[in-house]
Amino acid sequence: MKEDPLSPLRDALLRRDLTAAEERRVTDWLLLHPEAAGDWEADRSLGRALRGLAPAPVPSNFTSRVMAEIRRHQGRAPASGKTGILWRRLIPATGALALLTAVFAGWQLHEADQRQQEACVAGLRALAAIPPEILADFEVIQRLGANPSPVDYDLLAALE
Amino acid sequence: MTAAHDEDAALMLRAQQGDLAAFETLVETYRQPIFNFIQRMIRDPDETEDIAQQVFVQAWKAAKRYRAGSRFSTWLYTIARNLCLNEIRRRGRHPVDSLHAPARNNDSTFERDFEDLRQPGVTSEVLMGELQEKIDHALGDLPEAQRTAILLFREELDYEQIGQILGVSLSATKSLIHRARETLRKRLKAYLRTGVWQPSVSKDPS
Repeated sequence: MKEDPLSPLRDALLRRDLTAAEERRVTDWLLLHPEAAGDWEADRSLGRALRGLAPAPVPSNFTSRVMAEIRRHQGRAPASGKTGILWRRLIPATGALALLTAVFAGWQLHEADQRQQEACVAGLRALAAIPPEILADFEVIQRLGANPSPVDYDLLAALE
Repeated sequence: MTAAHDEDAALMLRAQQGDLAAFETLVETYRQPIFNFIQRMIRDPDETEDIAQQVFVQAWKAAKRYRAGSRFSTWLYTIARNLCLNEIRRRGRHPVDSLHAPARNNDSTFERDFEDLRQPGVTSEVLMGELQEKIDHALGDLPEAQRTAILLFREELDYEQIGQILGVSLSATKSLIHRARETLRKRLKAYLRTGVWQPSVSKDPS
């Protein structure tokens, strides 16, 4: 396809009027290509019309509405900025601390259980060590404890 | 990158750190061009306002993804275009008649009831106003990529930025602008010659 030497100027017309130097270039070119004059004038009108399009109306409170929406969003979303950084560091630290505390408490409970079991085992071992003859009179011995013998005052006086 | 672009990037970097005042400055700077772009993409003033608001809110929410090396305007217009495309697709699924939509079916048969453009004595303001109205409607008839390209070019974005927003090469961008300009010029020339606004030709996808 043959390159249109005026193409950059045609694009420029979409944004601005041409400079005097650019206008001279166009005039010179059109002298050599008079058949293109119609297209060029249409381009010029098009550029002028596009540049002159009315700006879309923007409500005067638009910026404040956007900022209010952003603040509302900030209220819901995780904090950002310095506070956010602080929170982002604090949350894992707190979590780690809670985990450590839970592990320590669990270990303590486990230890207490262990001690209780050991005490139980020791008690059972002591019981197993008692000779069977003692256990044969177990009920008699228990009754003795239940009904203590009256005090032998004569013997007590003799001893004193 | 120009000083203005550096300034925008600096403001956006501050916004990334949670600086609302910096972001507010960007909203103030870009609200008018963003409104212009959206209105001519979707042609509905009520929706324009909602989408423009979404553009800035989404830009804030996605601030962390903004990279300092890229231009803020490219990034913002990419968000705007995506939201416009969503709206256009939504309308495709659920077509609605906007109260603000112009009566397009009269365009092709509209005969001017006043003097011919070429005749002296007609005020240029009136003629230009009429021409602008026609061009505004003709923009809506362009395929989406061509319309986006020419609108962004009008908003002072360069070819490279437009290419990035559309996801096409530099030469494809120039071609889109060229084709958009050609289409509009053809319709304009016919109008200037006959006084009749020609109906739009069938849209190709690009």
